[in-house]
Amino acid sequence: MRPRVRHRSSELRYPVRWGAVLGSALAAFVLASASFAGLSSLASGGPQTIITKRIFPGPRAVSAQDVRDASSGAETNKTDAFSAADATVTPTSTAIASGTNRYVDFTMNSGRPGGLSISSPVFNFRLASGGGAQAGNACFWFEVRSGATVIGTHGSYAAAAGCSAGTTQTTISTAIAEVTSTDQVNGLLVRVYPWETGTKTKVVNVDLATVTGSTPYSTFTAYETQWTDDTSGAPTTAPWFAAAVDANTYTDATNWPAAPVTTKYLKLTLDPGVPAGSIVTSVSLKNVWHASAAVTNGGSLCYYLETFNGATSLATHGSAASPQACTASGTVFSSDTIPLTEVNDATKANNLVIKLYYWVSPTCGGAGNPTCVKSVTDQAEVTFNYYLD
Amino acid sequence: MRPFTSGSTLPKLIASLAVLGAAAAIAGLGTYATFTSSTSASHTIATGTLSLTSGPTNRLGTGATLVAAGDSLQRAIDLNYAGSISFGSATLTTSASPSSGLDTDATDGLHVAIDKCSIAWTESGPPYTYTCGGSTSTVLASSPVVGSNVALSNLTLTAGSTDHLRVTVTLPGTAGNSLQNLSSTITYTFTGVQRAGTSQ
Repeated sequence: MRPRVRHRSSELRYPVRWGAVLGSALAAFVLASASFAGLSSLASGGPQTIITKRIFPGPRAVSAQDVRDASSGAETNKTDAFSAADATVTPTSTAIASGTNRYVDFTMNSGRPGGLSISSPVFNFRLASGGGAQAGNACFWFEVRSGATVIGTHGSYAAAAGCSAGTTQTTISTAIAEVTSTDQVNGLLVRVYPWETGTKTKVVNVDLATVTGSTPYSTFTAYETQWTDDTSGAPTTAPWFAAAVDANTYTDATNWPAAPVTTKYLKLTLDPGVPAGSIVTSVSLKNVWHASAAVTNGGSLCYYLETFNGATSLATHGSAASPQACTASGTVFSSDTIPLTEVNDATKANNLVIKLYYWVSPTCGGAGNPTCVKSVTDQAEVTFNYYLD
Repeated sequence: MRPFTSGSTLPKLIASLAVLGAAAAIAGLGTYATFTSSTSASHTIATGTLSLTSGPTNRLGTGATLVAAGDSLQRAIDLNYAGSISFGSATLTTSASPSSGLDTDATDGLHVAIDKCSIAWTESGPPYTYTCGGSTSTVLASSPVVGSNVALSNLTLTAGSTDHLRVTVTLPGTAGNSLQNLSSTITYTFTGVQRAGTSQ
């Protein structure tokens, strides 16, 4: 009996299945017909093309990377040591040999509009041996980090990304094609593993660490806002004083005079990389500062400022008779945000130079007069609001 | 018992029944043949018509350039209902070609909203803006710009009438830099559907 029962069941299974399939199809057809049945009519509009701006409006803040101190009446270069190939070099804290896995980090500024593609990005690193007896060459390899992620590695201890010969500073520019957008360049971290090849290991002197490249609309240079030296194995961090309100400040070299003098100033130069043709809607300077010591006898440290398009004066903000700001405090920072309405196009923005003329009012020095003081600057940053149609 | 197999009893049985059935049908025809008479009546059933058209106002073909986050554009369009059947509902279907993040980003991309004025909108511009001298009502709350058969509310839908609509397309203020320098072309299709069926 069992075989016959199984066989009959099998024979009936196919008609039943086909019936189910056909029934389902019929049901679906009926339902669909009911749903879509009826008269309808269409009216159309468009096509309507909507195109967005090439760069959205927004603020882009850049700190002064080039600072000149003329408090004495003669300019001295106090520019960020890593922003230019010049005589200002920074040695690693410790003599460093190959294979130590110790590094120096450079965190780049965030002054570019986000969302733009990058072409020809390059890391420019200039270094040399600290020199001395049995010194060798300075070499390095490096990682490129975006956020917490390593997005590129260039060289190794076995195959350096570049070396300089002896104590001669040499710039090695390495393409970093893994950096593809301004979102990555803004805040990019480059971790450099330097070493010195001498039989007696020496420090490495670093002169330059920048990232350069192009967006579709302009070229740019990203400067470091912070560097960390881990060559000793105990990292120390040194932010660029002008970049942020923090514990890192700059005190000018000489006491300011009793009245403003156009030959005595702090000069700030910026490199915002505003694309040509951009509509600059507003620009403002943020100056965070105080006196180097409390100003005594009712005096105060004051300043006014002058803006330049390169060497051409644009405007003054305040004057000897009407200071931009004053403070008597040697500890409490004054935070001034000063609109620079005269900076109203890309050319003026890119060529902007600001001179801050400080003085102690009403006078200083001498018995019974206010003390003469220096200025302490914590932040010198300009915010450029612009867009590109 | 043996199972049924092809060429066994079952096919033969079916064939026999078919032959018997045919013979019975022929016999039946002979059995019931007689004189007959008939009368007939007829009626005509004609369907109604339904027509949805746009105009004379229709600015939806006017696009916009240099749009930034937080910007919006307003365009007016009239929808006209005609035909012998009333409309029961209307929907909007929008598509984008070419497409970009402006229309695929449902959160920060373009959004569309529609409202209606009881009389024709008063236009100014370009850039076009509209004010209503009558009363306004919401036809479509803000929604991602691309949608299919999105139900519209507060429309007149009566044959012989016109709805005066203002379509507002907005790029939200939350739109990020990834939406810079993009382009999308939007096509709008309004669909009017007849009223529910009734006894006629």
